[in-house]
Formats: sequence, C-alpha cells, structure tokens
Amino acid sequence: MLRKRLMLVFGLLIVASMVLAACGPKGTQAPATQAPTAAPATEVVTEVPRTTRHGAWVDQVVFTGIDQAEAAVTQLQAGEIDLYAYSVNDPVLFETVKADPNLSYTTAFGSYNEITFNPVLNFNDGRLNPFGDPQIREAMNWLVDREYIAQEIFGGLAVPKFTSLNSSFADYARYVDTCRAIEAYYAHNPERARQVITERMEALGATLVDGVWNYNGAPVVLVGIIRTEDERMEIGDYVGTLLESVGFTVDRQYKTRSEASPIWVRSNPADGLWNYYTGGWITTAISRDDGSNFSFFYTPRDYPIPLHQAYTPSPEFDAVALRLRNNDFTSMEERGELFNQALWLAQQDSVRVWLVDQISFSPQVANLEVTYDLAGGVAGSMLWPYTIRFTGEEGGVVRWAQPGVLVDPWNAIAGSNWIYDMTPIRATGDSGTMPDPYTGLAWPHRIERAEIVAQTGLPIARTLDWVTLTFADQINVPADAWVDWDATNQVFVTAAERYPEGATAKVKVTVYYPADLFETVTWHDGSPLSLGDFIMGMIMTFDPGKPESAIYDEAAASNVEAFLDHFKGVRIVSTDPLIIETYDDLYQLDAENNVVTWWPTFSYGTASWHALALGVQAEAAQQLAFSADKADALQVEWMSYISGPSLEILNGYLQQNVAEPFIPYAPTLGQYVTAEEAAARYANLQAWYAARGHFWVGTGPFYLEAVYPVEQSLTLARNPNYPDLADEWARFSAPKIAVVDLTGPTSVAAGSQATFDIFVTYEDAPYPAAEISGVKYLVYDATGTLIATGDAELVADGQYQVVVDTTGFPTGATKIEVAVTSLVVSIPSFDSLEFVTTAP
Amino acid sequence: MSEENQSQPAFQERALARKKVTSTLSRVAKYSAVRLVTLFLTIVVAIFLTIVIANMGGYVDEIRRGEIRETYNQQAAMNPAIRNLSVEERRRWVEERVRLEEHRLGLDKPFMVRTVSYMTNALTLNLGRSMHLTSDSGSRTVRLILLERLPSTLVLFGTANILLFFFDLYVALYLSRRYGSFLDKLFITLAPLNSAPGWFYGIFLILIFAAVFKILPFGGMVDTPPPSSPVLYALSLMKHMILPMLALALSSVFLAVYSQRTFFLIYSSEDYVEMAKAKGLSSRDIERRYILRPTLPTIITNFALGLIGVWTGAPIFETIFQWPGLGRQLFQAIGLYDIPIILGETVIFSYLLAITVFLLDFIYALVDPRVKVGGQGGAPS
Repeated sequence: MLRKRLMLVFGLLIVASMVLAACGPKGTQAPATQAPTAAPATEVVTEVPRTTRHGAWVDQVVFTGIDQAEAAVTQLQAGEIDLYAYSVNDPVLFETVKADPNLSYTTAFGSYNEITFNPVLNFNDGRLNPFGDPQIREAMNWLVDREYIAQEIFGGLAVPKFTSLNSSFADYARYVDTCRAIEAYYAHNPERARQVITERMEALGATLVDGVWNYNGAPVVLVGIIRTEDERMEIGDYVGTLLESVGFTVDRQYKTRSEASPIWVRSNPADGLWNYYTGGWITTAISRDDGSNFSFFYTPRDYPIPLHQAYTPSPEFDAVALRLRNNDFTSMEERGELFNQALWLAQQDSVRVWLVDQISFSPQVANLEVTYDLAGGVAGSMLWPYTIRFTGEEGGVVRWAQPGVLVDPWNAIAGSNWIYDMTPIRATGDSGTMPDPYTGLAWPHRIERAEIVAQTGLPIARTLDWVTLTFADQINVPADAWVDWDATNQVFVTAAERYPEGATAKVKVTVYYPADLFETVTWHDGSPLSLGDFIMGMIMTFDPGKPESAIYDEAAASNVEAFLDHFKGVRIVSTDPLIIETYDDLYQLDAENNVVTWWPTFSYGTASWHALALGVQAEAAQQLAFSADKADALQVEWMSYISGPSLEILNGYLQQNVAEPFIPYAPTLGQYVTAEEAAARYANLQAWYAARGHFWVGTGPFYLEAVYPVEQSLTLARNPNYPDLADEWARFSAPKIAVVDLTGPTSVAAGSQATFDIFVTYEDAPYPAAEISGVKYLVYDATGTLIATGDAELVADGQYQVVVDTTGFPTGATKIEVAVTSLVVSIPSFDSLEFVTTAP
Repeated sequence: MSEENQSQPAFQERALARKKVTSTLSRVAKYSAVRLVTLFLTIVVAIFLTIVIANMGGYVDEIRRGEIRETYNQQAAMNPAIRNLSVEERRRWVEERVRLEEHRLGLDKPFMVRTVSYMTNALTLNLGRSMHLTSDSGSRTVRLILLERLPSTLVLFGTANILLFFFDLYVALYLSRRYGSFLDKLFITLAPLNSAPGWFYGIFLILIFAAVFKILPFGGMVDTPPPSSPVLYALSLMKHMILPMLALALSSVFLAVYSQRTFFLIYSSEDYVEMAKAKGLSSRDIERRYILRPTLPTIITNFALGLIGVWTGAPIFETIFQWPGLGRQLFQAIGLYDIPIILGETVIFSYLLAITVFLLDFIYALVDPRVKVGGQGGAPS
C-alpha cells in the first residue's frame, strides 16, 4: 500500500515539475523603464591592425540554420555557434545577452512601425469614419504615447518616431532641428487629443452618449486590423484601448499578413472594412535620400492601391511632395526648405501616424568582431566578409547561424534574393565601390577613383575626396557610346545610331580602375579577370529583356525598360588601364553614390563571363532558366549554380565548351575574348567543378568551399589569392557615434545672453571637427514650443559653444537641446539641459 | 468397387475444390474491386477537400493578389532605380510585375478551373511544380522537394517507430506476465506523462544534454560541416538522432506499453489460454500461439498505420530539433499557401493509406484463419 502511494506521489511530482517548468517565466524581465540605449555593444577597435594576410581574417565560415532566436542564444552560451546573424527584437533575450559577459551584440535600425488610417470620411453604408477627418488623425499624434510603445511594448528596443524619416539615416540628421521641433510639438498630450477629437466629432454630427460616440443613433465602431506576427499585436491593442478611452467602440480583428493584405491593400476604403491598420516597414540599406517618402506615404501617386488612391493631400502638401520626389530643386538649401514644409504638412495630414523606429540586435560571442550595417545589421552588411575575425587572431573558423540556409537557387542574374542566401553570396563576390555601413556613402574598392560631371543646377554634393565633382551646362553623349543592345545581331547600339541628332545626359561618371587590375584580380577557379567579364556584364544588363534574345525573359523586360528610361550610354575610354564613362539622367544627391563601375557583380552575385555562358546556353536551349518566372513558364528548373538538377545540365555545356571553346555573344564579346582565353577558362572551370562540385565562382575574399543542401549548411573558405590585405576595411570596426555633454547655467534672466558649452567626444577623445557636419541647438519653453534655434560655434576639436539671446523668452522652465551630426556616421547624438528663465 | 467408382468421389472432390477456389477467387476479386473503387472515391473526396480547405474555398486567391500587389509596390518603393522613375513608368513597372506573378501562380484562371486541374494532376500523381518553395538543392519540382526530405524523415521517424514498436511489444508482453509488479505499476503511473508531445520533452532534453552537460548536439541532422567520410557521417547522424528518439520515446512509450499490456491481459484471461496453461504449455508458447497470434491483426494495423504516419513528419518536433524533414516542409508550405506541395504530401499519404488499408484486409486473412476476405463479418479491427 505504501509503495503504491509512493509511486503515485512520485508520478505526480514528475508531472507537476514539468508543468511548472513549462509555465514559468522565460527569464528575469528587466524593468521596462530601464531602456537599453542604441549604442553598439561590440568592443570598439580604434587601432587599425596591420597584417600580411590576404583575403579574410578567418580561415572558414560555416553556415548553419537555426530557426529560433532563443535556441540561438542558448547555443551561443553553450559555445556551439559564434554568431546569430538575424535581427532579434526580443527584449528578454536582449537582457540575457547583455548580462552574459561571454556574449556581445550588434544593432540595426531598419524596421519601423506606424498606424495606417482609412481616410474615407463616410463609408458607402453611411457609417462615419472619424479618421476621414485630418484633424482627428493629427490628434492621434498626441493621443499615442510613443515612449510607452518603445519602452513597454518593445522593451526598450525602439525609439519614438514622429515622422517618416528614420532617426538613424542621413535626412533625419540633415533636418534634425525640424524633426526635434515636431517631436516637441507632437509630444504625448492626451488631453489635447481628447479636446480636438471631441470638437471634431461634434462638428461631424456625432454625439457622446454615456461616454460613447454615437452617429445616426449607433455607436461609432472602429475596426482595427491588427497584425499578429510581432509587437504589432500589442500596438494594435494599445491603440484600440486609447481609442476606447476617448469614446470610440473598437472592434479588434487580429490577422496575419496574408489575412490582412486583402483587406487593407485590396479592399475599397469606402466599403469600410477597416478603420486602422498596424503597419510595419523595413529598410535593409541606409537611405541617403528620403525625399520620395512624402509622395509615397501620403499621396495617391506612387502606391497604386485603392487605399492610396483615396488619399487627398492638400494641394500645398502635394506640390511639395512632388518636388521632393522629383528632386525638383537646385540646392540643398532649397531642399531643406521643402523638407521643412513637407515634414510639418505631413503631420497635419497624418494618414499614418508614425510610432517607433525599432532597434534590433544580433547576438554573438564577445571575442568576435564584425562590421555591421546600421540598417541591415550583420547579415545585411557588405563589409562582414572583410572584417569578421576573432579579436587579435588571424585564422580560425567562425560558426555562423541564421534562420535559413540555401533557401533558393543561386545564380547571379535572377537567383535567390533571400537575405540568408545573399549574406554568403556577398562574401564570394566583390564590387567596384563599397557602401559605408554607417553613412551609406560609397567608398572606392576595386576602382581607384571617379570623376562626376553633373548638369549645372542639379543639387548634387560631394562629401568624400576620392571623387571629384564638377558641373557643366550641357553633357553630350559621345557618338560611339553604347546606348542599347541589338539582340538580333548581338551588338551594341551606339548613340550615333540611336540619336542621330545627338543626346545629352544629366550626369557623366568616369571610373578609373588601377593599372594592375587584370594582373591582380583572379576568379576563384584561377582565371584572371579580363575585360570580357565587364563586357559580358554590360550585355547581360540588356539581353534578357530583349524579345529577340534567345534568353528573353518577360520578367526582365520591365526592368530593362525602366533602366533604358534614364540610361544614356556607356563608353570604354581605355581598356588597360580600364576607364569607363557612363551617361545617365538618373542621379543621386551624393556624388559618391552616382558612381557606376560596371564591375561584373549582378543583382544576385558576381559572375564571370565563362560561368555565365553555361547558363546562357542552358536557357537558350530551354533546359534551365535564370529567373523563377521563366522557369515556371518553361516548366524547367530554376537555374542553380551550386546544387540540384541544374548542375548536370550546366556540366553538359561545360564539357561541350571544353571540347570546343564557346564565346557567347561572339559578335561583340568575341572582340574582347580570344579563343585561347576561352579554352583556358573552361579548363579552369572544369577543374574547379571536379574539385568543388559547383559552378559558383567569384572574386571575393571567400570562396564557396562546400554545399550541403539537405543538411542545411555551407562552408566558405578564405581566398588566399585575394588581392587586398585582410585589414583593408578594418577602420569600419565600429560606428563613431559621438557622445555629447552640454553644460551651462541653471538659471537665466530673460533678455540676457546665456552661454552653454558643448563637449563632443568619442571614446573619451575629442571628436575631430573635420568629421562633424553640424552642431545645432534648439530651445523650448515650458509648453514644448520651439522658441530659438541655431548653430553652435566651434571652439576647438570636440568643443563648441552656444550663446543664446533670451530676449522675449517666457519665464519658467526652459530646455536647450543640442544635436550633433557627423560625417562618418548618420546617427545624430543629443544632449539637453533644463534651466529656468527668470524675469529680467 | 470398380476403379471408375473409386474415382467418382475424387473427381467430385476435385470439382468441389475447383468450384470452391473459383468461388473464393470470384469473392476476392469482387471484394477487391469494390474495395478499390471505394478507396479511390475516398481519395478523390480527400483531395477535393484538401484543395478546397487549402485554398479557403478560393479566398486564398484574394490573399495572394493582395500580397503580390503589396510586395511589388514595396519593391518599387525600396529600389532606387524604380523609385525614381516617373509616376507612369513606375506604375507600369508595378502592374507588369503583378500581371506576371498572377499569371505564374495561375491567378488569371478561375478557381474552379484550377481545382479541376489540381484534382487531375493529383490523382495521376503528376505533382507538378511548387509555387514558392524550392527543394534543398534548388528544384521547384514537387516530387524532388518531397523526395529530398523523405530520407531524413524516414531515418528518424522510421527508426524510432520500428524500435519503439518492438520495445513496446516486448515490454507489454513482459508486464502482462508480471501483472501488479513494481515495473508494471511504474509504467501505469508514468503513462499520463505521454499526454505531452514529443517536442515538449525535446526542449528539456536539449537543455539538459546539449546546453548543460554539452554531451549531445542541440539539433540538426549531422555536424556542421557534415563529415566527408561515410562512416563518420553515419556516426554523426546517430549522435544527432539520440535526443529526438529519446523525446519520441518519452512521449509515447509508457502509454503504448500500458495499453498493449492491458490488451494482452484481456487475451490472457481467455478460456483457451487457461486451457493451454492447464495443459502445461510453456509461457513462451502460450504467448506466441495463444496471445500474440489472435492479437496480430491489431498489432499489424498499428504498426502499418504508424509507419505510413511517418510520411507526414512532425512540424513542431522537427523545428525544435532542426531536423530537415517533411513535417517542416509541409508547415512551410501551409504558411505560404503552396498548394502543390500541400496536395503532393496529401495525395501520397492518401494513396499510402488506401494501399495499406487494402493490403491489411488480406494480411488479416493470412495471419488469422477466422478472417475471410470478402466474407461475412469482416476483419477484426
């Protein structure tokens, strides 16, 4: 009997322990008010290490898939992996990582959230939609507490967002004074929101009955389409609660992206299927120009869905948005004025209310260093292959985990676009220029330098001195420039043929490659880089989109058409050293980002002419297709250069080409590639395929060593023949985010001059003035209204001074805020100080 | 008695036997035909329901159209080359991309037309091409997508099912002989533990053996990078199978043993078993001839259905252990509304189930003389 009871108790204990373990908290929740800052956690390396090692710092990077961030952090703690390259938003995990001395993390700022409103005032069935009234929409800015969302819902992994500008990108820094003024004006003020909503609802004919808004005898019910995949569920609930607090009845409808999309994207807003939607957006690269944001987010112009077609911006706002969209200004000062108008008008329109810019983190072991992109994180960084290393070490194997590996087929023309594939693909390729991970500005990489000539009056500016910028009243396209592709005869169309009367361009870019380019750069299979690779790149820019081509792809046609809309010509000025001119009507505001290099890196990877030739042959024979669309149309495999049924077909062409060297597009490429070169290249590729089992051949610091599709793993190995030393990009080990310290008097008599000192440092050293683009100050009164603004005076490196004339300042609490913007990192830094303005 | 007279009864016996054989064959053939038609109709209904449910009665088309438009508009907004085009050019670009994608997915054809096409293809095992997913090696052929994942699912769940099946059987028989023993009571007490699924135990096992003791891997099928030597690869595979198999065992073994042991106990108290005991037969003989034999149809049914159940995999379980199996594939396909893959898995499972059910009828007749194919009373279940 006793034994029976013991057995029962034992069994129950086991069950109870498991249930308790499963139901318990995941970890210690940090107080929500203790927000982490956006500062990077990786150790900063200030000294540029020197080395004689070529290619990557490490010997190998082994990729593996881990779906869940929780599992990844556990494996990091157990020493099973070195890095989890995924943007994680879980605040509990963030606390876990921060608390572990063996772990570190990098941050990224690419995602942001908002509330989208249905802008139709009266639905087809007669119901009133309060969000059809611009003033009620504007009042929502005061109703939502963005700080609450950032701290409580995102656990500190977000910062309040008031405008469409990302607070980590260039335009926010450029117009930081306007942005901060808007942030002060629209600070959380529920009473003001309630007052505006009440006034407007009454004006619209609604009545408040027992605290509930009624219209035509029925409660005003607001349907919220709330996304369930992430924090947007809590945001939707929170907004619903706020709306209830001001008298609305809320119908919360929880939906996934798939379920929500037909409602907010496809339904007619006038049908009234929804009133608000929890929107979310992502940017994977640092934007240097957000001028088109207003047209995209607030006008019917750029987003042809029923919702946007219902937008009715004021004529003034619409005109400003259009000018910004089309870069219709002649100077950055004029652009600044347009931005100032647009930012304020957007708040008054408020068809969407911005909530937060998310801060995501990627955990890693503490002794690993890697450059990350402010928008794309580690996975989206172009520099990760060049900078990843174990602190103070050369060599070693990095175990890299991410949620997916080998998701879609790899081919450089129209292969996988998954970030999980592009991350290793980038490591195997190279580029003419390299985007700065902290500013988005281009730096020269394979090219030596560039010259830009822009049409006089265009608002293009230069920041870095590797590029020259000049202006000309007219830029003529030379008669021998190639402006298009004749797929029938496989030759380029010249400007003289296309534009007998002559053509002009808005921008001319001349890139200069180093004299030893073709001696130093080799493909992974040992073939030296040649001019043929550049020519093939130019051909492939056009050929798939031409109906006469053997590899015509309907899906590529629209891209080529769009490209030809602005492209004006390309000309090879010199073959060795290689100098290429490009003529275009499309331009960027930054001179550096206008540089077109024609380096043989395509949308989805770097590729040599001889490797591409196999794919061209296979597609021409309708056995494979570069794009998924064409593969589906032909009912053949989507071409993969690394695995699967494609390999056998590609290998068939390789054997054929080894036997009889084939030069694709011979009428053109044959002028730049000899039969001997072709034979040598195919022999190299054959040896490569025999050794590696795939055709993925690049020029990057890593080569693809092995692919394990079913096991969901791949291995990259260091390319010892890479021309650059491992420390080439070591200066980008961490973003140089300034630390600002503002000091000054605590009490100032109105009418007097108050002096404030500003100290700007990085790692306790003065921030060089040459790297500072601006130090602005903003003064607010007790109500948060901006009462003064201006620029600080430079005193010395890292030291600035502000002298504020307080004449006319209201007495009472006053706040001065300083915003420091840098040339080497796009995140501005702030500090503020409160003082009392007393009577004179 | 003449020779002719002597051969008359033999002839009659042979004739009777021939008639009996003919009758049996006719009965079996008729039964088989009816059974096959019935099973085929069941498959047709199952596939039709799968198509309708997976497409939400056609509403998935609306979802897809919304997603496509959203995707390309956002692409246009994010891509500087498209973003900076004129308004008309940009709209044209978006519309063209939307048109192509809708055409690719067949959204330019009515749902009912596609349903008929899906049905025909599925029934003829023309599994076609997936809409979004690719196989691990990059193929969009549904057959390859499924076949690539099948070995990893089979090796884990097939091995586990077979081992657990024989283990359960052996322990259940053992416990049925030791009714009321400590071990018997232990299994009964622990049986409720099997109310939790395998992935639940998987989490604990990973935490204990991978995170804390660091003696077994967290997941995956083999080490990364996978060993190049086949022997090392096999050893690595076995090492990675320990925790998943243990989790599967913990989630099923107690209940399975408990139910089978109870089943055997019921048979153990039959009169013919008591008679055998009285005749002094060994317990081994009694188990084999008098307990196992009559329960064989049930055991075989469980075994066969368990084996074909492997085909569907286990999405959450495979996710926890990062196992590249069919379950995760199906889970992904459902999330993406990738109808060809969902249909492919369903139709193959339907055919496997139908074939198994069909064959089981004959197997029952082979292992249990009381059962006649197509006879009255049917087979025991």
